[in-house]
Amino acid sequence: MDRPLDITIIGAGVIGCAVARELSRYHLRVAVAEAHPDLFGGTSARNSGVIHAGFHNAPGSLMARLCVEGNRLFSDLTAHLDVPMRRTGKLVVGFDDEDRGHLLSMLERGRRNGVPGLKLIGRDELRKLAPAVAGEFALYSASTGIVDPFQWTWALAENAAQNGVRFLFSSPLTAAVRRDGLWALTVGSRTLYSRWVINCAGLFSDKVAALLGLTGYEIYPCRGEYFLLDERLSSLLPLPAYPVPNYRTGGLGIHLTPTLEGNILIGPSTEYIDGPTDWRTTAPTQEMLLREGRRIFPSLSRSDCIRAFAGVRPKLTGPDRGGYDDFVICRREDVSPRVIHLIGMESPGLTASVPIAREVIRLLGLTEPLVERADFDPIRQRPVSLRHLSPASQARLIADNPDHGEIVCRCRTITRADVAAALSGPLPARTLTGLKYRCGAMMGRCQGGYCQTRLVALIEELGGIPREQLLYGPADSRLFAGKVRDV
Amino acid sequence: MNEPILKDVVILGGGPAGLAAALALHEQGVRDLVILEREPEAGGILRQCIHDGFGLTRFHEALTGPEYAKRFLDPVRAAGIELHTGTTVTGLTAQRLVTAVSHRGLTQYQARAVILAMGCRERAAGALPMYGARPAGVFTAGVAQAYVNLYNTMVGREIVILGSGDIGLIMARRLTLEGAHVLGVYEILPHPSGLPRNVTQCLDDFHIPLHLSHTVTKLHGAARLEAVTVCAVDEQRRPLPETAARIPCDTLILSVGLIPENELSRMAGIELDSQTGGPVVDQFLQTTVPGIFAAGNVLHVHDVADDVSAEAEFLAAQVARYLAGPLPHCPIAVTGRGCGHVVPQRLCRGEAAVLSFRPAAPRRHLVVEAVQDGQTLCRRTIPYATPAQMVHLPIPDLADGSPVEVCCYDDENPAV
Amino acid sequence: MTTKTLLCNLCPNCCALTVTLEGDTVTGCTGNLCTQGADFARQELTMPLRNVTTSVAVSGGLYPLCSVRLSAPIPLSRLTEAVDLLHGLTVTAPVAMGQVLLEDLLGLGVQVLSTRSVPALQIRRD
Repeated sequence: MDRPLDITIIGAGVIGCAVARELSRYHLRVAVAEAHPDLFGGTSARNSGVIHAGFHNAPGSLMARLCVEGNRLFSDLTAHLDVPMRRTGKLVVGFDDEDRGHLLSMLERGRRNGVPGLKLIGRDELRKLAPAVAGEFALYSASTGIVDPFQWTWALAENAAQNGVRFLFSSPLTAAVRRDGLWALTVGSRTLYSRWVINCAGLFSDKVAALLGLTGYEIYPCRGEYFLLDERLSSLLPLPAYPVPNYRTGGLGIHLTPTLEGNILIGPSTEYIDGPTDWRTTAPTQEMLLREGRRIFPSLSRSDCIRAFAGVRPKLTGPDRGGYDDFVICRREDVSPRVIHLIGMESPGLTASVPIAREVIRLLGLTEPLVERADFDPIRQRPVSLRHLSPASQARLIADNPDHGEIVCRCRTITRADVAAALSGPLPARTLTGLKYRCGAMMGRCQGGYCQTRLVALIEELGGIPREQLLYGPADSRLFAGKVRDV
Repeated sequence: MNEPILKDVVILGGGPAGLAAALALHEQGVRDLVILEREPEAGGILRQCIHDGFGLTRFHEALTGPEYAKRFLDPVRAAGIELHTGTTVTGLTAQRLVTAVSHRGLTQYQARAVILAMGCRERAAGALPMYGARPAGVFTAGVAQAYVNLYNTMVGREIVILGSGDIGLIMARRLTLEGAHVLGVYEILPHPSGLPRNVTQCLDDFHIPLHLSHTVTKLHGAARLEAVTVCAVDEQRRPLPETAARIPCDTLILSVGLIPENELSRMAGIELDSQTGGPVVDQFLQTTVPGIFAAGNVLHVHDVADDVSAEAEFLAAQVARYLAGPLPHCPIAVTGRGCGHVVPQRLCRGEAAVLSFRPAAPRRHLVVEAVQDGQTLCRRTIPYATPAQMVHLPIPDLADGSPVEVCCYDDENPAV
Repeated sequence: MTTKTLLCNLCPNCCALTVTLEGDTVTGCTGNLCTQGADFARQELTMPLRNVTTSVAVSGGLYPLCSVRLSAPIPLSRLTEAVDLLHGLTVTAPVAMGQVLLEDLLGLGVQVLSTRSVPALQIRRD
């Protein structure tokens, strides 16, 4: 690379990708350095996928303002970026007077934050909206929605790449030195020279901040475990339902969130842990989630669970304080020149991703001339998928391209053409989970039992990655131990 | 999109059940039929089962899976039976409209009768109370078998196997022959789930230890599996934490159950039996949707391909009858005591039937009998009964319309 | 005299056999419901026999592997040797199912049979 970059973004999570996408509107040379071998390495791939309304956040905070803004923009953005989403609404369910008091506070807080469509509803309306959910009354939030966080992240990244942003994977930032007015960044095995750095390193944003000269911040990793129910139960929960946090009993209550595919997520739990990437599920928490799940769905059994996983929140408040701090989006020119730091970007980071990016650009624009590109294309489109079409349209699609008729993932009706699309384009899949999250294969009931062998063969054939080198997801997650016979 | 093609019979699945049913129908003069198979080659799961033991009762030979499949595929081809491979059925209605896609296009069939022969899938890791991160190196046994036997891909070197069902035992041997070190097979029940023959020839021959009443509770490793924690379990199959032991390994093979593949059955509104995981059927193997029949692993998981072929041939005879006129109504309910499940779940009067079930636990001299209204319809003593071997109990035609119960008992667990 | 027990695996009856031996010779067998059980016990305790099913490498084939079995079982004591030999073999496509890939394995008088058909890979010159 001869000329230095204008901007290097550290981290290709949803926020790093949103920043990349928004920066690609301008005449700037932008690169994203991501530690993992592909997208989906961190918190962006391990969350509930909720587009929050903004009534949980403290009035006057960045979280509140950017969440409400993000919620408002989400329909248009997902339309432009061809990402499915649904404004399901959300229920916060209560039973007694104390609960009602909390809900009224939430309602008030929501109103102060400018959240539209909030109201208190009674038992009858609650029954109509979610017959399987127990409760006497609820706060109903019409603007809350759900999105596939993988599709959203990938769409932002692809649109950024399509508009000229370079993505470097397996490139963790290990050193950063100021040299001749530039940052010399050691990312993976290479050195990048960049005028600006945007720290979107999520769980490692405190460590990256320190590398870039800004100390004094500490991320407190706080794990949330989930499990995912079989889509056969999808009719039980048409919209997210959360109980009111019951401060008396000390529980936070277990959230129930449907996904667009009809799976129900139970969780997340809350547990401060030591390691920022300790994504282990644990017996006590999983058992707790099952017990809590049974309180809402009494017939729930362990065999209804198709997958358990965990995410880690990059919190700025430690175990003694709990609660939330605000997003830190800041510049410290004295110790960390030409860097914008984003630290503590927990929920509602996903919802607020694009407004966060625009806030970064606002800060950038105070010092840096930003010239809009005439050829910026805000539209990113996914190729059409067989699974969404009627039989007549399916027939036409297959006639047009026979690869749409070869079903690879039976559970989700993912075709060879869908897989091919995920292995091509500006940001093709590089790992098995990278492919999984882009095309949706392996995410259904059989969890890859049928399609895994086919996907691996297609990654070799269409993606050019020999299976001996193929990773499951993280670095060093080799799937195989060589060939049976050397042929 | 073209008009649906009219067919007398559409068979969903070209594995052992589908192929045998097609051949038997053809032999009985039913010629207007088609087999739809999603793999590039027919044969079903047999294609990857390169071990022998297939065809012992049917052909009096110990064939491998692919050889057994060929015994049906060759006649199917010779008879000119319509077989479409690379074709996935994506829709089935209660009116027997079948929608199928392949690279050739989308085709719909309007069938007079449909035979469900889709087989089964494996229980996955997510359904187990086994915790930790999600490292690479965890495979269900069937997937590992496909990798090793079809795709020339070795899954790992230091292997722990959870589950002593036949497929886990077979893979213990297979992986050992390919140079892996199988550290042990862990089985949550107090007895092996697979056939004694396989315990001998897959474990004992290779000195692979079998740990009964044990399970895996934790996975260690964030990127690739590094170890598992195993625990002994109590009579209720709950792990005993004080017995936890860490076993370093790089691969965990799961052989923890097969589940009949009934997505299409659900689509058609067919009632499923929560115990078998397959459709509720009458003694003609007809499901709760008229004209839709089921045989093979999709109905209930079998041990022996020979049995699947026999069941499919029986079903073919019923389908041939059905095409000529409606089958008798089957109002008589069947239940089981001391055994896992009974198929068929419904009987009619006046026609003999065969009841299939699995004993609940291994027992010597197990008495199995079918009882109706206090009367014994049929009784057999099985010298060695095990859940790993399905029992087939023929019963005479019934005059009475009361429910039928299958009871299994021995000296330890006498009949009430 | 020694006594050993084993389960017969010839049929689902799975008789529990009790066998008496003088050194390496079987002198008696009880628990068997048929005579084949006694034969099985004798064989299994003096010289257990096993078939071998595995894969051999294929060159020039549509698939890299051809599954194989033996025409008859061989002594268990020779199993490792047999497997090592088979794993060193490469056969050339096309291979027909049932084709004899090796006429006499280890001089034991058994054939190695293909249990798969592997077409030759056509290399098209476009």
